[in-house]
Amino acid sequence: MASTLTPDELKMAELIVDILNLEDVQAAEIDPEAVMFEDEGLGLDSIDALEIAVAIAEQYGVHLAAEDEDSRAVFATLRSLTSHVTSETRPA
Amino acid sequence: MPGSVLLTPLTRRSPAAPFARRAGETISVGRFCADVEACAERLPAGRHAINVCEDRYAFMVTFFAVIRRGATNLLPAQRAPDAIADLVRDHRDSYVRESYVVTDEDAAGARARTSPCSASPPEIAADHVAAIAFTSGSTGTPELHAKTWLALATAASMHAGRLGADVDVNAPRNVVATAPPWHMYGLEWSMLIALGAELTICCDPVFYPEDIRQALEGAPAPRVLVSMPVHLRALMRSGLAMPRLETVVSATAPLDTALARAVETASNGRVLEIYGCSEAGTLAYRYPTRAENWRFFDAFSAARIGDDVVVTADFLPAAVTLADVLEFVGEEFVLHGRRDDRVKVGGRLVSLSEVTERLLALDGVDDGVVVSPAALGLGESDRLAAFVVTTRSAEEIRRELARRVDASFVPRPIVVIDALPRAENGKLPREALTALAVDVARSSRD
Repeated sequence: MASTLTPDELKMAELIVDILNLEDVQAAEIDPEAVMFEDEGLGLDSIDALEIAVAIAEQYGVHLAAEDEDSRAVFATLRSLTSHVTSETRPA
Repeated sequence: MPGSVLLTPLTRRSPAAPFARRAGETISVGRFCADVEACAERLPAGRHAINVCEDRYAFMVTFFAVIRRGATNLLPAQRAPDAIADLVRDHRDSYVRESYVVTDEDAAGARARTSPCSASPPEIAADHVAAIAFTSGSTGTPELHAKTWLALATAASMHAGRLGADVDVNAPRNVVATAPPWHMYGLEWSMLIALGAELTICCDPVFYPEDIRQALEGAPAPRVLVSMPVHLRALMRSGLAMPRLETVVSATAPLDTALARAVETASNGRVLEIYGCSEAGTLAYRYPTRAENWRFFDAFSAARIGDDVVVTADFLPAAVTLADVLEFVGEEFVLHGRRDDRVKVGGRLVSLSEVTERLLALDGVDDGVVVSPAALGLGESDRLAAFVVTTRSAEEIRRELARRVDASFVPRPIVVIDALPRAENGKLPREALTALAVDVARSSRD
């Protein structure tokens, strides 16, 4: 039922698992369309969001901002996050 | 006969003075007061309001509108849905205010006037309980701390004075805050502080380093950043360039001196660190790159009674016993760690026994304990961990617990074990818990 991860999504999943030390989570098994935050999915919180944002800036050179098309939507799922970051890194 | 009426410090400011800035628009003191009046008219009847506005401006307007209606703001320690439901149930006649969106329509009456809005700041009695702050108590049930208007207004002017903000009217200071206004630190330093001093509050959402940079760029000098170590750390790691800042205020968790120096170098400003507790509000300050020692703000007197440090002030209803270990050096003090089961996660206070109680209350949990590995001397992350005796999965336990406590306080990891290492008297000795935590860490690495 869970859709498979694209290579970009797998790379992002690995970043998240690594940065947040999610010991019992396998990056390849994360459902890219599952909600990541609060009492859903991975159960991430706002401090996690900040750590992920810093890691994304370091790895992808993309600086997330709270006003980016409603950052809650961007961060909602692994798929939405990867898609946003990928589109921001595409050359203009 | 109630206590003396105290006019809102806002009357000291001109109605045309800039109170807030939001989405590129400057909101004057007068407009803010008009918005407060308009909001107050729309509030339902009720003695207590739980303000869960996410938008900073909406939160500020609603906070004062509630007071204007003679009601009290409840400031929950946590905003998880069940925690809010518990609060509503326990406070008769209370209501939950989801959000208040400031529209032109709401302030139409005041805006129709062509001159700067002349709505007067509301008069508030000194002894009116403007807010009640809830914190995690050491016994598991929340503690309530009533804040009179006198207490909040007095604190506001002390803090503004520390920033030098009451001095130069021609150079209003612009405040950008990452600290949310619904906890005591943000309430005092990013909202109340603007009452009687020339400060303009930025109300755009500010969270990521990029937001901080944009908001600071968009604010004219002099600029004050009100933040916390977790956000300052992220800001420094981002390497983003910042405009010149006058002061960077930090609170809620100890600020590493190296980080303070880095912030001063990057901002050309000075770092002002604040120490306080929900019960008493902001108590003391220091400039961490200049000296290690702290000074109490003038309003407070501190005395040592046995092992405890007890603080009093005219505006505090009762003496406050501090939960930290203080070592006095003349008029100043050195701050050592916390004394009890309350720890900080992400700058916010949580009671280990409270989270443990909620864990034990779940179906299918036979035994369990929530610990702070950092407090046990294991690792730097301040995340909580839990050991549970249950036939359910750790994942199920986590999901249920997430409905009852804020996401930051949900233990990670939750480890299912056969039995807890309880001593004969049923207690869990620190050494046994530490050994358990170390064992688990070791086996997960194998």
